[in-house]
Amino acid sequence: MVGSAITTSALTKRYGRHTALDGVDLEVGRGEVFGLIGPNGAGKTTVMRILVDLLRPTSGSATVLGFDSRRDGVEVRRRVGYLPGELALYEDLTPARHLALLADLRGRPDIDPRPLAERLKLDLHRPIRALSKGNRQKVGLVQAFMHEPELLILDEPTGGLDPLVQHEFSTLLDEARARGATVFLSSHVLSEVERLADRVGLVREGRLVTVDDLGRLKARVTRRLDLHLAAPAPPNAFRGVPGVRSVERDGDRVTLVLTGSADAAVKEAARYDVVALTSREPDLDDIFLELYAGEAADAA
Amino acid sequence: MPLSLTRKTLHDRRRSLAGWSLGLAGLVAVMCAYWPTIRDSSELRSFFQDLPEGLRAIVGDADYGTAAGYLDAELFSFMVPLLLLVVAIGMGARAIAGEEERGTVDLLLSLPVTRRRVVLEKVAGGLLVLSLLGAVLFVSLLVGAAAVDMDVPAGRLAGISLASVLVVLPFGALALAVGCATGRRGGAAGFAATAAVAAFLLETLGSIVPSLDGWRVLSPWNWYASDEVLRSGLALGDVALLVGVAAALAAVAIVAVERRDLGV
Repeated sequence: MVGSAITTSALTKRYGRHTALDGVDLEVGRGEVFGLIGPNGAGKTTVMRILVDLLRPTSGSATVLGFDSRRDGVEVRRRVGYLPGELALYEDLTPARHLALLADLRGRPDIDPRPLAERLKLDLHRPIRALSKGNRQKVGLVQAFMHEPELLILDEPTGGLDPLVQHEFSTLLDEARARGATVFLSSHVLSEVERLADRVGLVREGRLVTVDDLGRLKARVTRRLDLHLAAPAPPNAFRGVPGVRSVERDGDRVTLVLTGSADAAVKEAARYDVVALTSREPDLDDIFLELYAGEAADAA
Repeated sequence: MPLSLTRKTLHDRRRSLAGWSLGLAGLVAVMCAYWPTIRDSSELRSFFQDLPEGLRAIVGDADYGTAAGYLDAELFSFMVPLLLLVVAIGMGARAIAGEEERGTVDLLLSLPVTRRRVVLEKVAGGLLVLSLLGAVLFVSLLVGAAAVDMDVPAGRLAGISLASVLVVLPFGALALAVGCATGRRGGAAGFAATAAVAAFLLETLGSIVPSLDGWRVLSPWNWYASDEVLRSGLALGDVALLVGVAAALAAVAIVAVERRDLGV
């Protein structure tokens, strides 16, 4: 089926004088894995909660899988698996009972959560109140995936998961994509989305700042490379190397600020005796600053 | 399966249901156990009859000369409705606002169910819990009355058991409506409890204070009239008022929750 999985137009949400979302136009294609990134409080959760009709937009609208989020909320939610950002479960139930209740309410009592629980190594028979944060998150993931929804809306899905489970989670995403499902996920950590998403949207203070292909976004972003050399580098080292925007030298330590590919800089570094090399993740604030600088330059 | 939330409400309340059942049965048992002493002691009876009129109105215009009057004064003018009121207001306030406070509303309403259905299923669960308590009350009365040879027909005992469930429905529904409109469980329970106390005072003081007398008909406790139920049976008009007001408030609750952002 063609068309987009999610379309929002001028989506705005205000609480009194506070604007949580400000005219967000977003389009997520079917079969895509789309990551929404932004600092906490940027509006990611607000977008997701509007899509499942927990919140009502102040103005603008959202269409999910061809259905209006407000008018046809039930039809939307039938086709969606949603993982809340702040997952709260019925503490006195076991995961088995909890998942059975949710399956019942979906009108799908036939759903068997056991294969998924097994893959995520979730014990279905301990009371939820006795579970760790990571295990609770697994309950959340199982309930989001168990009915094989057309669209997965996952708010900070990997929070609290250990690396092994994170790996299983990305396998689940691959499988969902393979059967044609769309994934809409959020994170406040770029590196997390990087491994999972095809495209990302950056939100800040309720605005969708940019939507881009991940490769291109990273090409626009700066990162730092710290080099520890066996001997102090000569004063003109790394000058004029493609991608290197600035060089700081402090004895045998060199810090490079790079844009785009690190290839040329690393090859240049190979001329020296390198003791250690660290690449620092660009953090979100750097990216936003970079993007704003870019926009300001474009405007000038 | 249908009514999953109704069954969940029953499951969630199973322990408190057992506790309240024991409490009600115990209360009935103790009051019935005292009846032979009261019946046979003319001094006690005259003591109550000699109380000032205002005080007598507050203790339920107690007529300790008959078993019906005794049951009304000791159980139905205050204690039993109070216990059921706590249960009803607690469930009403918790239905939606409790899900919001705990944050479970996100999962619950990300399912393909309407908010109306969630409210209705929970209302059904609440009604079942109260009906079960009403049944426990009735059976305890039946057993207790037979044990001490009270002269009250079973039909009257059934009537008063039903009436004491019905009188708490408007207040439970009020807690539901406020909870649905605001998402605040504590506020909803507090508001409904205050309303119940105010209505109770209106009814009892109204029988003493002439200027309040005309307003008594507005109080659900006036439609409850436990003494009349025990003496002459349930009045259909009163039943209709209690049920009607509760149903109207439940409808308000649905409209309110359908218009609102949840869990904010």
